[in-house]
Amino acid sequence: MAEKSNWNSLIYSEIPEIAQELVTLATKLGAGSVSAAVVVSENLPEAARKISVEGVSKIYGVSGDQFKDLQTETVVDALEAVYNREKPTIVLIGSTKRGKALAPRLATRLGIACISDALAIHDSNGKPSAERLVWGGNAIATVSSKGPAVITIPLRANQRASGNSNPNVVEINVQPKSPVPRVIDRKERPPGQVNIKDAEVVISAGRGFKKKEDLAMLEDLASTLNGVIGASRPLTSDLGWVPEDRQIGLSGNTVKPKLYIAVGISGQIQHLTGMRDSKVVVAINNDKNAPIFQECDYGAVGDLYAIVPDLGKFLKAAKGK
Amino acid sequence: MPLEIVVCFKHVVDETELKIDRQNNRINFEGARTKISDDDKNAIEEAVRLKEKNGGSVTAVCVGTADAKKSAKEALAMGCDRARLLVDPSFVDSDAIRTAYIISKAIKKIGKYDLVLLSTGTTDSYTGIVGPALAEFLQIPQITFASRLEVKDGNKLLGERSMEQGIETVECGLPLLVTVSREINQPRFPTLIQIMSAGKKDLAEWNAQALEIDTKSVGKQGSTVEVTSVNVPKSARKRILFEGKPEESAKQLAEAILREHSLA
Repeated sequence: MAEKSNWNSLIYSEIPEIAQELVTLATKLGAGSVSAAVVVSENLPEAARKISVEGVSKIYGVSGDQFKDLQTETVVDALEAVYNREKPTIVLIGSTKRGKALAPRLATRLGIACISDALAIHDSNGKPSAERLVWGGNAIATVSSKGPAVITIPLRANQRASGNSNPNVVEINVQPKSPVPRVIDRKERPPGQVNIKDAEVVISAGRGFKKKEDLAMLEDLASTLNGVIGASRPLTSDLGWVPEDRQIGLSGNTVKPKLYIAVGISGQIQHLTGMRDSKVVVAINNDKNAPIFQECDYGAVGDLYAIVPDLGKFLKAAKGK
Repeated sequence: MPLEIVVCFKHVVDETELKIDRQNNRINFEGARTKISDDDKNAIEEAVRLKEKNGGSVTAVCVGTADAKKSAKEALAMGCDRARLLVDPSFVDSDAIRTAYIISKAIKKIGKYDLVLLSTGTTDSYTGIVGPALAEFLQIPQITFASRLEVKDGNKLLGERSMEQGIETVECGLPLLVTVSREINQPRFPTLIQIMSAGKKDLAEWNAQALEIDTKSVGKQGSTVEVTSVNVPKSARKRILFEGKPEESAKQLAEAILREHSLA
């Protein structure tokens, strides 16, 4: 992110922690003001408190029964009202599924630009421009906007703004106007024991493994390295060998651990997107031409069934010293 | 209850056939084939299944150039009843919101519809913008990331949405726009007979005039977002490979890990 701009920005995410990340981002981008929108069905003061972090100069609070289930259409109505009051240059929205569903609709409502999954934002002569992945993560496109823009930001365990500020809270009354789908049920996924997004070491399994039981050989390695086991899409969604919340890739999690070990993973584009920012990448695969070897720091070409146990053994011995 | 369904698809370059030109840090498109974007096939499949179950018809719509005809025929072979290719020189370089606008004009021309289906994103740029933008242009509600769809009480749709925290079940009246996730179904492979009879189905091209679109409002001129460059980032990875016996490679890997990473 380049030199500071004079932009006013408005940030929003239905998830307070992500909203805090967006504040950090907005603060880094511009010398202008950072406002936050809060949209809830109850307890607005508490929601406002969570986003009263350093960098936020104003909070727009919109509350009402119609926001209980946070349907896209009603949140767009709310953010439209906030936008018309604040008139920021950029609206930053966290790229959760709700954020992705809402941003284009909001931009269309407002008649402004929409850029999704921006990895970086720049000021191009006063106009926002951004970098985003295209062609399955193989290339980076620079896209520029002719004017104000709604921009979604992928979640990447960025720094969260904290501290305390005492921003002005402006309440805006928004009447329900759009027909919405009715939420009739929610089934929560049982929470995984560990949040793979925060792990410092991730060991990921791919189709090189012949059966589910063989994944056990990674447990030793994981415990020696204090790592978390993840997997590529085939092992999670398709085969169901590993829970979905441990999927790494375009349709799963994006991780940036200190050490990423890809075991039996070929390195399809969709997977690489999920781990590109890892500090050190190690790969084990028996195919010398596997794409993963183009995106690793160290790779072993060979049979994972022979290499993994030995790798574990050597690391354990070194740790013991 | 019969459903009049519009399903949108995109004709894209197959990203798995692209070559990365590391010398010039560019994408090499030479020899790459085209296809219907992967998840759009799930949308087409879902549209056809809903029609097979409930009656009605499916119109496939695509904003593209004339060579998208091949994909339109494939959509017809999969079971769509008719296809509309939206082609005009002024449409070139339209951003996602302009693409949604063009589709909305086609849907107005189509007339009565109950359901609009799309995927959540296409394999080339994966912006995920067209669906929600189109719902806004049409002023209808949206259900996004649908992993399951079912008609309820004859005039409502029940959808299961696969969200980060779990599955959210919603119901909504018609007309409605739905974006489907790829887990919703397995797209069929048309039989030879279906492919051959697709040639006889109703395929038409509609241009800006037919759609009553002001050419200044679309394309590069009408768009608010423009792609100014596409680059392959330099790979900063070391790419050091060990190709010896497993035990040797394992040892070298272990040493590398110990050098770069603290085990404490």
